[in-house]
Amino acid sequence: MARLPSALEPPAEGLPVRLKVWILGGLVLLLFGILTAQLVRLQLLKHEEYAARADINRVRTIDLAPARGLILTRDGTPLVENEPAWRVTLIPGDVPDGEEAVVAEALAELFGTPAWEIEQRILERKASNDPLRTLVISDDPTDSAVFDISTRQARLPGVQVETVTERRYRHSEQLAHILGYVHWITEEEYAALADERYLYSDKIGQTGLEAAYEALLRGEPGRRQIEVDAVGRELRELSTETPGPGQSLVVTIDLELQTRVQEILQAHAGASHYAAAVVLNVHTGEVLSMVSIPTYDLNGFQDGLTPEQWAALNDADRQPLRNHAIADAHPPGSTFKVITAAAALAEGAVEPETRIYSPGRLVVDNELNPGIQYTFGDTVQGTYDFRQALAESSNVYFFYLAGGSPYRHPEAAERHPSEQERLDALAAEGIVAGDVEFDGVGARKLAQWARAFGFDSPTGIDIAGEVGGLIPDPELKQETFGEPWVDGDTYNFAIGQGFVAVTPLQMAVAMAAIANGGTVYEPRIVYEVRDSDGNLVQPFQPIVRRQLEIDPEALRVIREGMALSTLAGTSHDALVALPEMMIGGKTGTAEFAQTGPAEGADGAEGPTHGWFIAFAPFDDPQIALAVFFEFGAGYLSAGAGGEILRAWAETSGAIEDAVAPPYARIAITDEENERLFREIRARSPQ
Amino acid sequence: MTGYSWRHFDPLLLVAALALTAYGALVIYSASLPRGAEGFVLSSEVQRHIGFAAVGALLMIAMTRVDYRLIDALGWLAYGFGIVVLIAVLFLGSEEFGSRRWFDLGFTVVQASEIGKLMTIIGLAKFLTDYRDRLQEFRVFGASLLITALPAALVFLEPDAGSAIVFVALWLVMTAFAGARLRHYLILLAIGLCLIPVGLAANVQDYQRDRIRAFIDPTSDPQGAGFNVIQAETSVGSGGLWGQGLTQGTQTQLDFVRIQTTDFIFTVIGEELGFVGAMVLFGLMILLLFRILRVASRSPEPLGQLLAVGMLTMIAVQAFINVAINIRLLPVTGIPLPFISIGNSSLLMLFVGLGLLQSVLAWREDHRPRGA
Repeated sequence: MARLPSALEPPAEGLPVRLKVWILGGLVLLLFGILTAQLVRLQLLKHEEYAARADINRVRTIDLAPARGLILTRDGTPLVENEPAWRVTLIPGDVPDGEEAVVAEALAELFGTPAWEIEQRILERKASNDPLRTLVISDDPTDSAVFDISTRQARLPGVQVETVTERRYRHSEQLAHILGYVHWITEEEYAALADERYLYSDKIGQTGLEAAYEALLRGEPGRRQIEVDAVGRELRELSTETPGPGQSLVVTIDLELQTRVQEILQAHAGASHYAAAVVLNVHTGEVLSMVSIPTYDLNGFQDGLTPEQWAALNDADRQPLRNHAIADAHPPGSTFKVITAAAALAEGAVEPETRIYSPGRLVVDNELNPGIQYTFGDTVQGTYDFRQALAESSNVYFFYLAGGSPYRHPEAAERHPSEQERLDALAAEGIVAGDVEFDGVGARKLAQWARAFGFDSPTGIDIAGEVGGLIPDPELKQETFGEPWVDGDTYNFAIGQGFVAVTPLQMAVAMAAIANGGTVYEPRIVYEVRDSDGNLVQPFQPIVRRQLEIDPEALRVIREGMALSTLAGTSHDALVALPEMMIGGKTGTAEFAQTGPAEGADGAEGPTHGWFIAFAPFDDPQIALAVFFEFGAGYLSAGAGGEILRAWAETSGAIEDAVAPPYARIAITDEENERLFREIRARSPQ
Repeated sequence: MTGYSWRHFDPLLLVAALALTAYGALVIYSASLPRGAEGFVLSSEVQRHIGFAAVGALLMIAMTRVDYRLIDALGWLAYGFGIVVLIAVLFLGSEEFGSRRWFDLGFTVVQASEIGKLMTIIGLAKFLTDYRDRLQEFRVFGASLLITALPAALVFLEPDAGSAIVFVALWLVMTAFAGARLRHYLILLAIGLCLIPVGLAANVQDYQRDRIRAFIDPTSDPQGAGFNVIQAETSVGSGGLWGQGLTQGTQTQLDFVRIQTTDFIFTVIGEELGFVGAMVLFGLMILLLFRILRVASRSPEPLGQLLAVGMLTMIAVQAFINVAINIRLLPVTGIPLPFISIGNSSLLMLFVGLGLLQSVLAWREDHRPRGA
């Protein structure tokens, strides 16, 4: 054994070994105590929190988009379908640091987007607090781009090709404003709809039915929960909640009629920037046709638009994206006389036999200064009873009905003796003429009736974008302009000028109410709702907004006047287009761009809108029509309206049973008039 | 009586070490379980862990027969061997993850720093024993530092900052135990503080800076260095009291934590065996460490005491640092959990070191007065 010297002597000084050993033992316990304390915190006190975090690691939720509902016609023709499509997206968080530029370069080559732009988007999203949210690189990749990406997947980290569905619209140009379009949900919409489980991959309806029925069409999204490992590989499925497909809409629109109405409007457009027409079923409020021109191709939004196409869509004058049938309110002109007529009859201000003389204009004295007179023009001159006034569209007749006899200042100059003589002679025959006392229905009552017919508020049609228009009254004018209502305002009101503004759809709804005996319907475009298997979910149910408190006889008289208008009045062009069927109509030539409300109606010298409203057949009204041409005239609109009625009569088969109207020409003798009245009366339904 | 006696062999020391190793094998089994494995699959990692533990146990028993006092004669040789190994690995070692720490012997790899640590314990114990009367002199105190600093610096160059820290701990505890003066530590501390900024700027590797930053705010780089820190903490926390069950931890089995059989092996215990599993580990560790302390208190002379204190420090400091990193008490640095982590060299050197301590127990009779 080796000699071991000094090493084996006990230590010379310092703390005793035993004490040092104790100290070391204490230190060991202290170290493990520290670790234990932290473990108590992590594993016992905050266990739940960490367990949840581990679950988040492990469990990935994949949202499953539901199939959007379809839109069909009543005979089952699909108007929009879901087509599978590709979309190239990128998860910025999966792009390794430093490789952003390479990936962006490769994508730029495929899609033509500048590489710097893609790179910047990747970097921005990576720096955000949600780097795993997808960026859309291309909504519409070519097949070859998709192939390229799938073969080069390994060199394009984070890039993925997703299968999505695309809305493919059939008859898109005919139905653009009704169907509407969808677009990828925006950041703002996503934030606003946070509670409704929208996905980043969702499309959301923007206009038309797509917007109005978004909740039904969209369906319920599903989700898959899968377990993934650290690199995101799927290991197994934990749960699946299948998405509930959206419901399908069956529309009231008659596709064939819709197509023909559009052709007719286009053929008659002339100088009009835009035009619109609405055909309603008078007994249900179903919209059989609603056309607004110019139209556009809905699929263009999916397929991408050239700058020229985009510029055309945003044309400030034509506004193709706008549904002019519901989104614009214009003065209705003489078509509004049917409303004035109904109000006056209902309020007892006039009898069908009441005759009023129009000297071609109405003169009202200024209340303070008899030297100042206001003149309200008429396009016709003569003595008219109620029906004739409607048929010939006498302004003066309706001035009286609304505003009563014109104010004549006590100090006004004497009339010329011959004129006064003529007025006296007319009065002796019981004809209202000059300033003979006659009480009109008044502006307030007229406003009430107009509102009862559905003006001044949206009709409630089930597509988005409707406006309410305007019906004035004395209070409103005072509030809006700070000026008192004057008689002239009532006269303008009576003939649909001045402040009055209505939409073609409102006009059609009012027309339907007159045709059906006084029921104001809420117009419907969706006939019924079906589930994805075609089972009926919600059957059609007409919605009655209001039953007018008016004697059916009054409406009957108005219809007779409208029939006379087509037979021997301003609506004659409609009869020419459809001589086989007896119908009722009323034209309107509405001035716009007036400088002041009081100056209206003295001869149509400024630009005008053309209106025509009608119902058919006269014997048994089925449909109501309103036609509107921006920059048009009433009689021209009547021609287009007649063709639309023909289109309806032919497509519906109603023409088979049509009974031709009695022979007529512009009546010149009282005998002829009498005969015509009797024949109309004989066929006039209660 | 002269010589060796089995009577003093401490079976608890062997049992504690074997129990820890078995525990390690169990955890490695779970951590290295192939995805989707059916039934019981013993990975090669587990087999080697058990194999080396068996070899280690035999070495430990064999070491008992060697008189540890040979160190008095051969201590410098052992220390020298350690230094040579540490130098050699810098040139001959195989490079992995940007550092040279291992010799690739074909059938296994040898981690130089593990040899270096044990040899440094031996060298330092020898030096402090030889110069224990003059330790009060600053020159001697300084020399002890140099003896430790040389291997520590070599390890740091690999680079392996974690192991370098163990050397510092060894020096600190062993010199203090040997009776160095407090004043000298303070002087060194003052000098050290002045040098720190220079040292940091010059020597801290980029990856070390990242790790420190990731420790301070792991979310600053959730997919990079901070990822493992967050995932390790999540794993341990999700274990709760009883754990998810062996092989049932999702964090472990789905590979959310990296380097799970070595530096982050504690997360497997934390997640799958829970707080209770961790306490079992700590219990076994404390049992082992106290048996080592018993060697120190039983040894009548400084060399045996210092060897025991050195082993104690090495095991305790590594265990503490390893677990502390796993539960986000310290920044990430690569240090194995003794007996548990995979690491053949580490395991063998631990058993050799413990064998040395058995030898201290066995060969101490000589120094007692006969009949005492």
